[in-house]
Amino acid sequence: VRPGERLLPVLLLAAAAVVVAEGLRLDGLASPSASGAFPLLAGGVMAGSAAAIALAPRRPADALPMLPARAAAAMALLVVFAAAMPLVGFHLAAFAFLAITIRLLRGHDTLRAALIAALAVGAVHVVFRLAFTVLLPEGALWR
Amino acid sequence: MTPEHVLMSWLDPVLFAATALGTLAGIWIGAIPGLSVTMAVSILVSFTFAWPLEPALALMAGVFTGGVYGGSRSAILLNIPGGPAAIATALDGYPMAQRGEAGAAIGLTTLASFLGGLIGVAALALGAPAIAEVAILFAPRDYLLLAVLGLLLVGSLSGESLAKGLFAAGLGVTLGLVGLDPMTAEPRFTYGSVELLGGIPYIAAMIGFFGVAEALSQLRLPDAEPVRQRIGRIVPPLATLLRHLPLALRSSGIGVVIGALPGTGGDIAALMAYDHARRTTRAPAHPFGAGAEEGVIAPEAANNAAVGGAYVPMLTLGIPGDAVTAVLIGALFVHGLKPGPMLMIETPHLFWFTVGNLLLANLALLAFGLAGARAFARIAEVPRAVLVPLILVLCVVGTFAIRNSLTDVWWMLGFGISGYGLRLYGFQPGPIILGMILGPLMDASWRRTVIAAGDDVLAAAIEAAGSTISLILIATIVLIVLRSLVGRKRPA
Repeated sequence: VRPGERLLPVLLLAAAAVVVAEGLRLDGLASPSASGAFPLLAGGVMAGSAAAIALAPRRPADALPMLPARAAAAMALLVVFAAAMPLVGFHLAAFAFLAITIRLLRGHDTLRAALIAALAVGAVHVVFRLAFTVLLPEGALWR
Repeated sequence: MTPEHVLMSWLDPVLFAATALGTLAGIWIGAIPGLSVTMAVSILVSFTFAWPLEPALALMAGVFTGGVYGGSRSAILLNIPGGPAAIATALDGYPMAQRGEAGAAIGLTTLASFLGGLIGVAALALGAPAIAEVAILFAPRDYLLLAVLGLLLVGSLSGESLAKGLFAAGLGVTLGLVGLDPMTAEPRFTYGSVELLGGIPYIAAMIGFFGVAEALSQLRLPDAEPVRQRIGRIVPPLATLLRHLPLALRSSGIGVVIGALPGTGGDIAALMAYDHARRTTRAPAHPFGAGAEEGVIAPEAANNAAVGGAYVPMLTLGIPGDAVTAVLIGALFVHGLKPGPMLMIETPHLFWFTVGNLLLANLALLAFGLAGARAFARIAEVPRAVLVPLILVLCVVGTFAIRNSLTDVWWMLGFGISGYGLRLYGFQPGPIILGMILGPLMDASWRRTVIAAGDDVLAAAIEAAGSTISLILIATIVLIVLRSLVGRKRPA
């Protein structure tokens, strides 16, 4: 059984309760055409499904790790990339993210990782900035 | 019918080039995760405002046709649907690529899309008035039932159980309701946040749940050499084509009808066709969900047939068939036209020009689709360590490009990381995204239905029981639930 599998239905029921509460706040029970009526229905479906999930037999987990170190590292680097983008600009942030992540996942060849990163950022620039005129963040530090 | 108007874009070099380039651009844009066909058409429409009308229409028809098809490329190669219409294609297209059959999958989707597109155009040319008359018979409750049907289909098709599919659909519907209530302007699920008043951008959610979550999930797998793609033969053997022809024709029919319903489009059409294929295919060579050829043919034939279908309410009633035709209607207004019954009467040549134009766009789709298949298939051979970071950057820049908003990027990352967690516990993103898209339509249809019945749910149910269309939809919903429950109990 997957870790946290027993806690899962509790979390799902809590999420359904939040939806039902919002439906009730919006007078969902007062009238079927009220603002909260459909949220109430959606919350009801979620609550029913959560109950069915709680009662269903547990499935065996797959043999893969839940959160391997490299997936966690990629997640962390992605968050840093998004946070750095408004400061240093898209191009530099994307280049650094790509070079570091490819180097980390590939395990060797820093120069090649940097080259792939530079080519990819160049391609993104051509497609998004030049062809679609998307204003990519330039970076507050360089203004 | 005037042949010179049908052949206008075939004989005029400028119109020919506009259609062909539009189709090529649509295929590539549709294949890039994050660049949706709606976005492509929206951006390109703004370029064409200063153009004469015909080249503008030619370019837009090409982008629409190519873009719907292009969404299947990233679905097959990366398990990231280029748009909601390609969600069903990913279910079997990606397993085919993992088996080394990306080239065959692309070949099949190209031919299915071409056939579906042709049937869609034929339906537009021959049956536009008749189809429009059927479409207008659909009451709000029928749209509600149709949306429930779509959610049930995707909920029962993906994930570990129907209960998890339904929970995901309910969650998606809730996310789709975030923001101001369009009827009463009351804030729902905003909890005092001004940012949330405008709702949650579903494209950011789609990129997060499909793109980021899938890319991160790839890192759970042990390192392995990428699967070598067998791309020797892109065009499937004649025997294979003939075997799948009846399914492709039936799926195209589904696509035309669903595409012609105002407010529904290629996404629901593709899901319904996929379900039809699953129900009617006896002993597929590979099971559905594990790389069945029928699982890519049916949705792709349907979503491209829905393009022709979507033009029907747009041109005959002035009602958008889907998000893209909503943008196209706006463009027609900018060009001084008023889509609707009078367009067919006052400017019939534009109708026939559009028919010829869509026909040409489908031929361009076939040519460009098959010509570029080998190069595209190689994407699946890129090592995971390089592909995953590239996908993540595309997800970030694609999300940012929607509204030049860093907030959308954070939404996308939030959905991506939570989507990774949901996948671990057997929840699939398809029902969540479809729920987000259909939630507002369902809410509005539900309320119109009960208001029309005097705020009485029982009266609304009695009215539904008296409508043939509603009864057919209700019976289909009941069948799907029963089949799903019985199917789960049977030993594998």
